[in-house]
Amino acid sequence: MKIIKSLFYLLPFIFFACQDDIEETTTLELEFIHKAGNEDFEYGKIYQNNAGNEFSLRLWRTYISDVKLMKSDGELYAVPDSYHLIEPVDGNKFSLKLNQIPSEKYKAIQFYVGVVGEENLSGEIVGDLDPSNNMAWNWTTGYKFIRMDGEFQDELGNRRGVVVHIGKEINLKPQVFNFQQDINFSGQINKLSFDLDLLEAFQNPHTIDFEVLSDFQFNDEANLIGENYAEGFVKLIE
Amino acid sequence: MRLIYFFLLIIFISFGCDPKNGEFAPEDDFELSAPAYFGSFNERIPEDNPMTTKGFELGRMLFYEKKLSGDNSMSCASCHQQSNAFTDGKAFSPGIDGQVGQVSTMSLVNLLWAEHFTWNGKMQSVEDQSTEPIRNPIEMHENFDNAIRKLEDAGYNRLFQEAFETDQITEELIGKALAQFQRALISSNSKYDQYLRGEYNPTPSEKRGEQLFFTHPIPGQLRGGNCGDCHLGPLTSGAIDEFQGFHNNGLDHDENMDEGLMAVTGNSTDKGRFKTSSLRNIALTAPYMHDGRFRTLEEVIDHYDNGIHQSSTLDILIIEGSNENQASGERPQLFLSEQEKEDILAFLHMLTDEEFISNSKFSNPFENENN
Repeated sequence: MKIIKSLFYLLPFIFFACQDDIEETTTLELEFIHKAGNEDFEYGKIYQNNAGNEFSLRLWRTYISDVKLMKSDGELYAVPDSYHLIEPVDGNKFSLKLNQIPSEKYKAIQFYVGVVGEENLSGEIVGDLDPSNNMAWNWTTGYKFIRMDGEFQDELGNRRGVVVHIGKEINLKPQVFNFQQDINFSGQINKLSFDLDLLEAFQNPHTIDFEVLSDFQFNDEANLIGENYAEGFVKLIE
Repeated sequence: MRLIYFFLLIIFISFGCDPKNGEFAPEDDFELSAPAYFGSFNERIPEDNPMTTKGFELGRMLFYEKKLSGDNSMSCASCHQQSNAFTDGKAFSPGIDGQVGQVSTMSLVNLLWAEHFTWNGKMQSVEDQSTEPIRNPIEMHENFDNAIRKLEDAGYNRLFQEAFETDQITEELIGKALAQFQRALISSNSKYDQYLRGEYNPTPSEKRGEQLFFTHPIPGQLRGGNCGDCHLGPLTSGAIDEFQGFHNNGLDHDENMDEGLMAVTGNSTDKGRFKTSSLRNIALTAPYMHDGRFRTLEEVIDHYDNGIHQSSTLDILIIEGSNENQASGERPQLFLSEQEKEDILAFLHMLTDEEFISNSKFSNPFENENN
């Protein structure tokens, strides 16, 4: 009897103990579909850029970070520890799941192409930031935001590299996608899909001719690629 | 009595909210520590072979156990000598029958941040890699029935019982124990690490060498040694995923090059690609390259500077890496100055870790037994 009595007293505590869970949350899946123009991207396949160079890639990795969702009232929900490394692993797709998203109506999503707010690799490993994942430069320089390793055959028939390793704060590019109408994220899982278009890294506004320049690492020209991927490289599919 | 129930309930309540609290670490938890700049590693330890103190200790004994060889004359440590950062100073190492292999002994260091072992990437795990030399006719040349019988006679059953909760000695468990020992071989106290931790002030040459090592050269803009494109980050080893860390570094041309990764994938575009090794303790692991062709680090630096052979699979990160503008199709060269070569060499010497090569936890446990 005593037990039942003590249980009875404790009941309210039990119910309120997990108060954090009372706010309803859901999962948001972000899917990234790697493309080259209208084609599905594949490693080793030859594509043509705007300048007419035929090239292929053996590696393509992209960091996005600081994902935020804008609720219909304009309030921002920031995904914690939001550093995500995107690469075509499932065919040309990559999917990541954001858990504990408040179930609400949202009107926009925003994030950066690149890694926000890190200066070196000394800190803790947060999200997908990991110095051993082939995206780090060195101790002081931090992470590459976009990495593309590939090659093309030049006019003389020689193999040449297409090496795109872009970092530095100037190349951190904000992406904002307003939904055509508010979307209610609720239930088990919700999904947003994005295209990542390889060719957009080499055009609009700067058409990159690999015959002239095909090595973009920390040089001034790397910023041209940054300006290219600032817009049109990531597209929300609705 | 009532109080006890009350406390029990409190416990249930506090564990109810956060699922993490419900998971208990294994009792016998072997402490691995590594700097954050090496990257995460806990998830790299196979679930079916967690690190334990008993497993590590058994692995250490097996690593130095000559009974694992056909004539009881060799152990893993015969070729992987701690004082040489677990190499043996030879281009090719003779096995028990005096026959030599075709590739040089690899250093064993920071293996947690690696996959696809041996020079051509043939071995998927440290476990697989560990038992192969025991069986290999030109290495330790022993079959596992014999080896296991000898271990049983030497009283190893009890040690397997303690490490794996079974006294049945198997090839699989021998591999697991050896893998546990080798995963613990973490080198992170070189001068370079001390510098990264703010405990060591590098010389101007070492500092310049670090910059050159990690810099991809851009003619007219940035001087670089182009090393860090393949020898990544503070680990200075190749990329982990898939075969990204395998590169053709221009040792030979198409006609005379060794197969390398192609022997594993069957893909002709992988010909001449070899595992990019860690440069940790590189000053102690001569000779260099898969076939030990370079005797000194000076020769290695000269190779990258001015000795690259062109081929159809030469790595694009080498083709696109020069301090001067080169014409299309020209043989890639770095055009480093003598001072720059010296600086890179000074940086490579920073990677030597005296503590690692003298750490008694990794040394021969039989040393006092006239073994």
